[in-house]
Amino acid sequence: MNLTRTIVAVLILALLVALPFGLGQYGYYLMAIVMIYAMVALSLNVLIGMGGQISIGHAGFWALGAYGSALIVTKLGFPFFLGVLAGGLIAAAFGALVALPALRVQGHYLAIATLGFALFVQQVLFEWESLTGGRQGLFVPRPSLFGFELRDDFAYYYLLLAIFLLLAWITGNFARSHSGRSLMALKMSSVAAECCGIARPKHIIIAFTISAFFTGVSGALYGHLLGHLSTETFSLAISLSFLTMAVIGGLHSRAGALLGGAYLALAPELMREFKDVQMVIYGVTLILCVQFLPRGLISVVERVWTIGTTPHATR
Amino acid sequence: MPLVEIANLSLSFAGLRALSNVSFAVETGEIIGLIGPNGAGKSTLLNCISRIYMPDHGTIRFQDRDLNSRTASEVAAEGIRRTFQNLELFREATVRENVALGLIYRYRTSLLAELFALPSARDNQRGALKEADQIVAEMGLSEWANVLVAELPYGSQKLVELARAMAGHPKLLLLDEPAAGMNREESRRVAETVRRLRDHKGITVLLIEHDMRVVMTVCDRIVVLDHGEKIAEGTPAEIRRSPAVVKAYLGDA
Repeated sequence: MNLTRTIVAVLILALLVALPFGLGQYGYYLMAIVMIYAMVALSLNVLIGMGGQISIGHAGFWALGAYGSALIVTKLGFPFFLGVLAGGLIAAAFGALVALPALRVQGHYLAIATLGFALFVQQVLFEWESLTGGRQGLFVPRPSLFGFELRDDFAYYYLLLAIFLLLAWITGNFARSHSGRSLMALKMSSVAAECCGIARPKHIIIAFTISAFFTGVSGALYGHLLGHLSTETFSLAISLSFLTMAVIGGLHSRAGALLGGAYLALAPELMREFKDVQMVIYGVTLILCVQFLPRGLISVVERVWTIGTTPHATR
Repeated sequence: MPLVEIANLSLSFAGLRALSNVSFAVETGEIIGLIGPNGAGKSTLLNCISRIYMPDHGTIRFQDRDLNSRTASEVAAEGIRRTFQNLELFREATVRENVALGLIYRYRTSLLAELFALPSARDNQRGALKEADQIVAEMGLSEWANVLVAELPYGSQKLVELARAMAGHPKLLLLDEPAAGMNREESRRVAETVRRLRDHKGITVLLIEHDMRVVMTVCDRIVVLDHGEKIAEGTPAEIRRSPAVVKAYLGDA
């Protein structure tokens, strides 16, 4: 079983490495976007899949990462890598704060609290013109590595792939760790977990912090890809899209996060012809997925894969 | 000094008195039975001790420290562990994982060590699983170690819950109807297990039970609740003779 897992992982990796070849500039850009979205899907795997918490405010963390990194690189002259890391850390700090309402409210109420947070972030970034450029937006330099600028999205894609794999590895470690297991125990039965000595506040804060960090890193990387930031990008619509892609890809699988990222990045390209009907198609896809594939698209892949083997797929 | 000291405990839900001025003490190493008709407040009392509920009035002292200012997880970490009337298991997890979740709070490293799978985190995971396996074996559950708890028969699920409580090295064990839904032979075995835990591990037990055979054979002392009030306290022999208890169970006749 372990051997087949390794083989599958190597095959996926080979595919990801080979994929962009011959796609052209726009293709490279889209592939980079897939990776950036997949990081957000990964962050929602941690928050929703493991923690059972909801957020429709991840655009807020995404924005904090993007603006944080852009400002630190342009105004303080920090190298790209430190900017991205700082972007993630800024978002993580706010993640810990957003966890506080989650200690008191759940479900719809938490959804509204996170939504409020995202709208707040967007508004502040828009109004704080001296820092963020407000309406005009903010110029962001291209990513660079050891002093070499990555002018090409082809090269940037591989950097993003490496960062995605690093975050996916961290996610896997977390899922196996005692903190991760404690979080999942709280999701299964909060009362039982607390009576086992597992502190709920601590683990909810951890879940939000990690999730916000991943999304912040993604946002930072996104800013450097676009080269220009404006607050319109970080709307309620993108928060909802994040949620949709994470559910459609699969909330309990790292490969599912990748599928979710691919869905969100590529579906608009495939459905360009449909114009206004697009939103209807998204909505229907989501409903169908929740109804028939509660574990996401990845569950189809897994089912095909495990036909004939044991019925219990382990995590 | 008693291990647990409950003084003037009261709790109401929306005007309904669930507990009213209940006081009693539990000495270290005792097995105390908590009995009374349905709705007498027995489970409510247990929930106050494990801090799922916060009492309106009164105090609970454990090892001479006040429990009211603590959270459920802190109380559990201090050595008060429990089972539930209607089972609160981690249903999507295996028997082994359930038991392991009962003890991982004692194995902690930094979050960073966990995220980067540093040796300290891996050692911790191995250590916790090893200890869980020992407890699984002690409770005679090894055969089911890798089975999802939801797939086990009811009686075995109750045993898993007890094993998970034992994983916390409890000083005080709260058992909410451990013999419910069991046949005569199974309840006899539950009674034996409770005895053994006290005799061999020195665990103090507070148990709610409707099966009078279990209560009368295993308990050193019995506390009787009715409509949230304590109506009697004493040895099994005393309780059997108590007119108040007979009245509570049989009504005025």
